[in-house]
Amino acid sequence: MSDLLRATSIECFKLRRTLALWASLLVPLLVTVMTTALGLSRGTGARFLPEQVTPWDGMTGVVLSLWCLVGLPLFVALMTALLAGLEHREHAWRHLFALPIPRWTIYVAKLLVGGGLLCLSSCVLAVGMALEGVLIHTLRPDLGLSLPIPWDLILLRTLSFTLASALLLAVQTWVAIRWRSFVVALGLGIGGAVTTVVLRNVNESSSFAPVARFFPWSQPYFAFTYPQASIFVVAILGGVCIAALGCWEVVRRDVE
Amino acid sequence: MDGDSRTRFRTLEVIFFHVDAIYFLTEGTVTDFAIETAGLTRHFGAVRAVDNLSLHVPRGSVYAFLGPNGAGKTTTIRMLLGLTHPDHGDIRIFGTPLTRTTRRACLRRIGALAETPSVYPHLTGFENLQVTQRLLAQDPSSIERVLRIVGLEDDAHRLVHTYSLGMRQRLGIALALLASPELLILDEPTNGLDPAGIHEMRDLIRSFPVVHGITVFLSSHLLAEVEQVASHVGIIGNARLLFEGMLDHLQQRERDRVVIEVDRPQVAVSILRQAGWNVERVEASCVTATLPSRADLARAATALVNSGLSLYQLRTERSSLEGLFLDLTGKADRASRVSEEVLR
Repeated sequence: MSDLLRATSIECFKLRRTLALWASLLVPLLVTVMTTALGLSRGTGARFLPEQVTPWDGMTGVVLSLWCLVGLPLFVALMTALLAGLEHREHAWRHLFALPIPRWTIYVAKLLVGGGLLCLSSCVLAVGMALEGVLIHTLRPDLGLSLPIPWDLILLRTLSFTLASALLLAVQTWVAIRWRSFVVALGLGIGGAVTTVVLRNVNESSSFAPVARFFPWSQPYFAFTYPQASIFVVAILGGVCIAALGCWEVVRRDVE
Repeated sequence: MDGDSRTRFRTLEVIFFHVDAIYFLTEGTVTDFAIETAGLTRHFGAVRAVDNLSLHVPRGSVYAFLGPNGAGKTTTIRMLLGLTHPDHGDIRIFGTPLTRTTRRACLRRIGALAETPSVYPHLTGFENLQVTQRLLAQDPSSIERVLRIVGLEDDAHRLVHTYSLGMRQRLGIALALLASPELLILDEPTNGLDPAGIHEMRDLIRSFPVVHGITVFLSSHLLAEVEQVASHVGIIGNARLLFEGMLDHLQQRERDRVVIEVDRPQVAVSILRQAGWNVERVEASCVTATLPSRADLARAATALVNSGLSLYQLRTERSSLEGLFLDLTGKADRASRVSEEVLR
């Protein structure tokens, strides 16, 4: 266990001056800035999504839709590729795997730090949504957002999509570590995001519904729009299984 | 032949077969090996990367592992570090077999620079060393120690992306030295360095066995480099080991060659051959012959002059490994082509 703790602390140490750390702060911030601008530019008398129960539901729904459909899949692809790229760039895998430490600790440490950055981006998004609400409340009181900030709603939704990202994180981490090319990991993320945009319109009664719910890239979206236990079970158990499989494969294979 | 005689004969045969290894043992200054491999083989699909390789790297030596590009040097080094798994064969590190279960115990005694230095350009040299020092739970003072050895104290707090290639190589060696290894494995450590960098690296490598008691196993295709630092040499060509022994023995084989510059080389060739000497090469104005002793040299010169030839120059070929290396690897290439044709 001390090996894993050391490897994880070193992964955090290596984050200094990296884009991965900045991306975790800036990408969710960018999404909230964009949705704030959209909110403020709404016409007089406009309301947030009419089917939502409250204006805060509507506002967070707009932010989370944009985040879970496009932002999150691309962010996870970019972040995991950048983390793995730290080792790919100068062939540091050779150095790390030739050290007298258990190889699995390096893989698991990468996964843990990836999870940590995902949580960080979720926190930034949660705070960003709260600030967006306050700003719209101040500048556009006609849109109906009232104070105090509904932290329970924001945190519950944030927790839902973050937990539902476990499988997505495990898949992207494996791909990013397994293939040296940045294009493979990013291409997969873009493909996943595009597919999610298509799948979000799948009717609940359709035979495609289970595919849509359990597709790793669309799980965060469905986790906050139609929160069902099965989504979280598949995301977490699937994430653990894929993480274990990826670790086993990467540790055993020859190092390029 | 009765059973006992057959057994005795077989024993003699085995002894004879391993005479090189025994010679190697008795001639060396040490009697045990830092690295031993037996029948090491690795294929990548249909390509044979390493074939039946048996290495003996004496403790305390600087062992140069030579071969042209693609000969199998890097694959061998990766197998020694457990990065690539062999199809067949055994590896022993200081007598301990390298397996999945003993990997960590073996690697604790090894420091390695595998091909290009594995460094993080966005970190400083010091931070790069901290990464490995903390992963290995080493004392923080080890960082200062290795920086001193490789002479990077003054640049330790600069970002690595501002380092020259030579500084990166030195940082790579510092990383390899962090855990105070008994064996240092360096894959092409002078690759891409300028002459000054090569000179510095050569001095550094030469100091390891003497000052720090570290055995060095280094691969190279720059033969002139190896001559000045290595005590032992292994030559690999076409995935097979072509020569293994002390550098002096290899050089001795080369010293017998004499280059004779004359006005009529073809006439010189027939005179030398008639006298029983071996002629290896004939060029426009030179003949290269094997003249094993000084007496042979004097007799050959007299014979040529007495035959009316104008003798311009007579020199022993410089004891570079280049010629022998090219001979050995060239023969391996030819042998490989022949066997491929036979198979077809």
